[in-house]
Amino acid sequence: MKRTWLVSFFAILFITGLFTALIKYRPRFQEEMAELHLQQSLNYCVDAAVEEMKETSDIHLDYTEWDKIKVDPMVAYNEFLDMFCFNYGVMPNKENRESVSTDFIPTFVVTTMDGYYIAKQQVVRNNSNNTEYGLQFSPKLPYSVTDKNKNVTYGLNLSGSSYFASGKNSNLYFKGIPDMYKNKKEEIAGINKILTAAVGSAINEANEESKSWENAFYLPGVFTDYVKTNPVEGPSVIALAQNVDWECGRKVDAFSIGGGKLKRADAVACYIRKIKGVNVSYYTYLDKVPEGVTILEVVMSPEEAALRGYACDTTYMS
Amino acid sequence: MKEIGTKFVGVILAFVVMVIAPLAVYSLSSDLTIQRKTYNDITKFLDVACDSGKIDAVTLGDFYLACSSYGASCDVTVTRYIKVVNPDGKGGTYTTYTPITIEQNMEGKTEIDLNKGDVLQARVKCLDYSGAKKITATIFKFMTDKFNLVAAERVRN
Repeated sequence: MKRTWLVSFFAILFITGLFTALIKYRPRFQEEMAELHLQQSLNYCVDAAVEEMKETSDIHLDYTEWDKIKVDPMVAYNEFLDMFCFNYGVMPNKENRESVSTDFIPTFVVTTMDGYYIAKQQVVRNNSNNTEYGLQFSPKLPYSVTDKNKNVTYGLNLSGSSYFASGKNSNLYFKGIPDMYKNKKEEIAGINKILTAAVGSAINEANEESKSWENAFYLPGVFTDYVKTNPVEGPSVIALAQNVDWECGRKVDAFSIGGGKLKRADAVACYIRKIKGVNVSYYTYLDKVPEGVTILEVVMSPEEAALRGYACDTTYMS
Repeated sequence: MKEIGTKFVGVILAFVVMVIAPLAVYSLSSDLTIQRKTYNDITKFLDVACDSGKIDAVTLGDFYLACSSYGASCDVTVTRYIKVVNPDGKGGTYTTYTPITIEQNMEGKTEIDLNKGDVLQARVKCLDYSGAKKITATIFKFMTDKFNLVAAERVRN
């Protein structure tokens, strides 16, 4: 066969192409695996931070005052750092935690019902030859929104049951929803807008010197099929990790948000009432139990009562 | 034999194109698949253990089996970090974690209960490559990495 050199030429071309592809794509595959690992680790860390915050610190939860819950952001932050170290197989000692908080976390937000704490990178120590940065929490910032028509600044609340209004000469505390919003959903959307602006600006600040930064940050205001994420509705933790290079040599980023939701426990009482001579088991709310009836048991939710075989007492429930 | 050099080069080229190239490509993608599947198994085991608050021998055995079923021989370590809160002499507290491996914890028992707030960490380390990767690693000396996956979750119940 003449021109056998043509076949060898294509073979060499193929081998060169294969080599280039291998060298180029192998680190890319490792980077994808590292991204997946970081995303899942962040989810675990944020979940742990929220649970620790709910359980360990005293949240001052009162039945009538759940718009004033207190959370301790340092508890959440410490648990987050510990879990981050565990997720990468290192011990949570001082050096590792400092290294995580200085290098990998541009911002960390803890939200409560009436405000949020945002931690940004700030100068921690300023020796003569180097400055050290670290994450420092801000004081609690309110969800404030200004109504320019009326010249009033509102302090919003995630519970939708009270708000703070600050006008020219007075600061007042009101029940309900401010006039700017039609219902609780709109107020929650407004609060999420404030959070988006705050977190977005913190992230942009942290990435000022990075030339390739071109991402945008956005928290949805309502739950829709398009975004498939809940808005912030209760005490939550928002965390962002950037430039993590502990796993593979390249830097990967991820974002996670975790939160708790407050739900009123609607305890119901179960009893037996006679209807036309037949004993029927019913349940109803504790304050609506009819007179002359002995309560058999109290369970924590209507679903639990239904599971135990009690029927809903419609005459007394409403 | 005329042009023995060219024929020799031709044979080598044919061998590389038809044998080495498919092996390299296959081992690259299968390595990634093995890593992802193993990571899925780790997170599944951790989620089950942390949500229920217990680990029993059957779940642990299934986890070990799943990790080693993808071709690469693995070393699986599950560690439980027990959370201990100590007073620090100034009125506050500091937290320490005491590690114990699950095998030691489960000696003589078939099931253990985890405390709320403990951290469960699973680490899967590849000891030896899977089939295709062994050959690729010998030929391409730059593809000799062994994967090492870690994940940790806090116990909910």
